[in-house]
Amino acid sequence: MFVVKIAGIPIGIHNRFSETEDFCREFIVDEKPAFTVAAGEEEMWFKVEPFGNPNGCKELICIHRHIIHKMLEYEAFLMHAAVISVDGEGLAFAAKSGTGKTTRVRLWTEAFGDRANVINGDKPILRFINGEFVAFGTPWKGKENLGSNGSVPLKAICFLERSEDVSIRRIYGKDIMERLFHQLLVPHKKENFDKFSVLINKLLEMTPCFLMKCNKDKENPIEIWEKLKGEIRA
Amino acid sequence: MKIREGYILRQLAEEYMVVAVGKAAKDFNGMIRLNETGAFIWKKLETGCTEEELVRNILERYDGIDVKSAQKDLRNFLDLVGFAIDKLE
Repeated sequence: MFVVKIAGIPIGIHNRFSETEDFCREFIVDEKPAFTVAAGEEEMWFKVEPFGNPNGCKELICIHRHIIHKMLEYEAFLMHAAVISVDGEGLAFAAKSGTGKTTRVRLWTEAFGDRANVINGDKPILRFINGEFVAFGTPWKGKENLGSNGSVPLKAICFLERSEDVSIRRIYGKDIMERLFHQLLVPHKKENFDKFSVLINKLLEMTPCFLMKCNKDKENPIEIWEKLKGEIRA
Repeated sequence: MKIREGYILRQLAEEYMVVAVGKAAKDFNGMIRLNETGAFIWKKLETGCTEEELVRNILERYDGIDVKSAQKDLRNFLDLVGFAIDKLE
């Protein structure tokens, strides 16, 4: 077993495959775990496609699922998004795969240089801690392997849509929900779903959401960020 | 009619969402989004009622809707969420 610290929580991982430990290397700590997880034999055989022999890759998928479910007890959950930090303020780009989360990460980190860094390019964890939502990096960083073992207070969520013209506007209520649902892993245990609903309501109360129409050839991250900051502070 | 065990409704921001929990989650892995009216009908169905009672409830709550439209809209709704309803009659 080894221990990783994710979203501030020390988690014990009982692994069978050495790839799992290598994969988590950056997050390993020497602490007593708050809880431990392990991938079940049956689970690896029958709950991860392609069905069949367990391997390191399947172990990582199962362990990730267990960690996410357990995280709800710590007011933390997974959002399918890319989170970057700009001047220490967290911005989440959320969209279906293939829309341009990674492109935004690239454009923004290029535009801001040292002022920006990637927290996680695919599956950050959001945790409500000391009265605010904080986005945390995890070892699961998506195909492009973008991310770090860092964290940033989340200041805004931008839902992305491809478009000819670039624009950004604040959205509310229904416009948020129909987009947000696709980015969350909804729990199917009653007590977890209850915790989850409370958290999502709190997230939406505290975090302004925007619809960002983007076009990589036309957009200027610095201009967009100035506009966003104005809205966030308003 | 009554909502099957394991289907739960929660309000998220200004929307309503139904998911299946426990055993029901094996049959239904998605989620249902409901508007205000859908949630109103769903809540009535949680305690159990007939289609006639539902139509009456809808007419009482929403001004200016006629019986025919209420019946038709309700039928559409019940067809959509039928898999989560036990028909007791």
